[in-house]
Amino acid sequence: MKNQSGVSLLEAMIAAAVIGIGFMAIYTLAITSTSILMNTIDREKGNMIANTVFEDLITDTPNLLSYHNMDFKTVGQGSASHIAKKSKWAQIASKRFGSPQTKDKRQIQVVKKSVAGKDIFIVTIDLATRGGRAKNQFKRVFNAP
Amino acid sequence: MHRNQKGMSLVEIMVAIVVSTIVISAAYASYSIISKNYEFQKDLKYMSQTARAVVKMIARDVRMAGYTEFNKQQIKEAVKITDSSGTCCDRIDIVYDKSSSERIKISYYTQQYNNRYRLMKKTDKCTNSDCSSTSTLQSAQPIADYVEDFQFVGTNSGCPTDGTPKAGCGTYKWVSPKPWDYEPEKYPSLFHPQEENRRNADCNQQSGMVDGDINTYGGCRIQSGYYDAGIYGFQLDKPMMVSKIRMGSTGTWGSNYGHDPKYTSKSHIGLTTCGGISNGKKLVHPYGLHHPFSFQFSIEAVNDKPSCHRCRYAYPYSSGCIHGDFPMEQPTNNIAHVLTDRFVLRAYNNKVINYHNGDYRNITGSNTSEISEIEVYGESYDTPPPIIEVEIGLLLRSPNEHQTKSKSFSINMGNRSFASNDRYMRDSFSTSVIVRNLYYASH
Repeated sequence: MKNQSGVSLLEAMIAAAVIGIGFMAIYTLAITSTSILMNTIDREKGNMIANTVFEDLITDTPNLLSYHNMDFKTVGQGSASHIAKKSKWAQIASKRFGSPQTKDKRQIQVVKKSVAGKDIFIVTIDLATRGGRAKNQFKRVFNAP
Repeated sequence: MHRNQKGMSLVEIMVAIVVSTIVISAAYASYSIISKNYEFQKDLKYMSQTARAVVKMIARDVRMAGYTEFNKQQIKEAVKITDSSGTCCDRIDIVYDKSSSERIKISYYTQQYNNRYRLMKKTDKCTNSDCSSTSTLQSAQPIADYVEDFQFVGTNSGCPTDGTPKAGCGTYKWVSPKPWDYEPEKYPSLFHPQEENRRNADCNQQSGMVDGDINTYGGCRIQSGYYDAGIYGFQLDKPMMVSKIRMGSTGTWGSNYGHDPKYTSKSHIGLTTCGGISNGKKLVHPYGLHHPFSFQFSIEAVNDKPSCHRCRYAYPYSSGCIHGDFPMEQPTNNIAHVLTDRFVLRAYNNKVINYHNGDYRNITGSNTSEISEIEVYGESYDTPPPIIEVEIGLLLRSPNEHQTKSKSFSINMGNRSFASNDRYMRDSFSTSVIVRNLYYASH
């Protein structure tokens, strides 16, 4: 047992640094998982808001095409029914997600298609929140045969 | 024995202790961070999971509301929202037929529990068709905890369903106003300054002029030297948008010039040269029950602003002449689209008519008018439409405190504004549902 030697200081420091990297990874894990959870919550809220939009559109199906390319980040000016609805959605979305950030998206697309001689409308709602980190898309077909 | 065996020096031990302390404290710190993060995530998830479950459950019930089984009696009030105004929280009652033999009423409401609110669900079986009496099917059970706000907004094609007035949402009809005994002292701005000391003392006896009896009288009369004017107050049970007015008189008339010799100081209705009646013109028979008359007037909606002197902008104003048989109508140009529950009718240059020969003359020294038939037409909000769109809003708080410092938080949900300043987290959720059975029944 004569040559038994302890751990040198250098070795100990390296070991500590390696463990430190491990801890950093754990912190990152915690932060990432919170961020993912936030995205999930925004998806949940987005789903509810998309439902609000779809339900409101049911009451205005003859004018569906006037909602095409509507961006409800800001409230609208005017008293037309689709503008009034836009303002309502903009207020709701701002309450749930906060005021829109640069890369956020709150947009509605309406595409008209003809299926078996019947006009159908495909409504797509794009919601991007948390500065574009949480992206969700919701679709519903109106007037489906 | 090993003679050369060496121990560790003090320095080595100190270094080892320092290094291991660093490692152990890092381990502890990360444990604590992870554990806090876990609690944080748990509460965040609690809120969103609860909200999803609750909102979906309520949305599903709202969608079913009003479903009536074949051959069953129509449901009277499929969705009923009880507003809590400024406090926690609204309540919703939903009625639908679960089967041909079972009509149920589901209620969601909040109940205080310790220092917080819980969301309760209760299902009753209706024991009569309008569901005014019920028996318990499933007793009240909590379905969500830590509820801060629970709000419903019920609308009908964007119109309020609780009787809140909104232009375009009411029903048009004729309404009889009641006399309003206004106290002139409280509404000085209804009078010109020079009118104030020229009015008679009867200003707060308005009822006499709409009772069909010229023995009783009421109404302020102004003799300003320039004109005679009667200022009559009227009130409506509920505010409405007045857009037309019609008047007539069924009073019992006396002899000449509308004066019964017995009541020489009383005339019955304000007449004027406006419109069809002027010098040389006579009224047309039959004078009968609904006497033709002509009446120059202005109508002013009243508000409680004390500062302004009959300001026509603040007190929307309309004037016109009406003549003809009852019902005769006159649009009230500017008063329409202003919500009002009180107004004054200001009649100028009152004249009386002799209904025996159709002649007329000025009133002097008399102080009364009888306007026994007066009705206003407009948008009324006393029968609100049924609820078709329901907006569900839920505000939850975390069970545990998380933020290191108190943070102020405020949000408007439904008709309530919520504000707090503490260390709890809060999150709000909302969605809308159409009551399918009622929507498709009306479209």
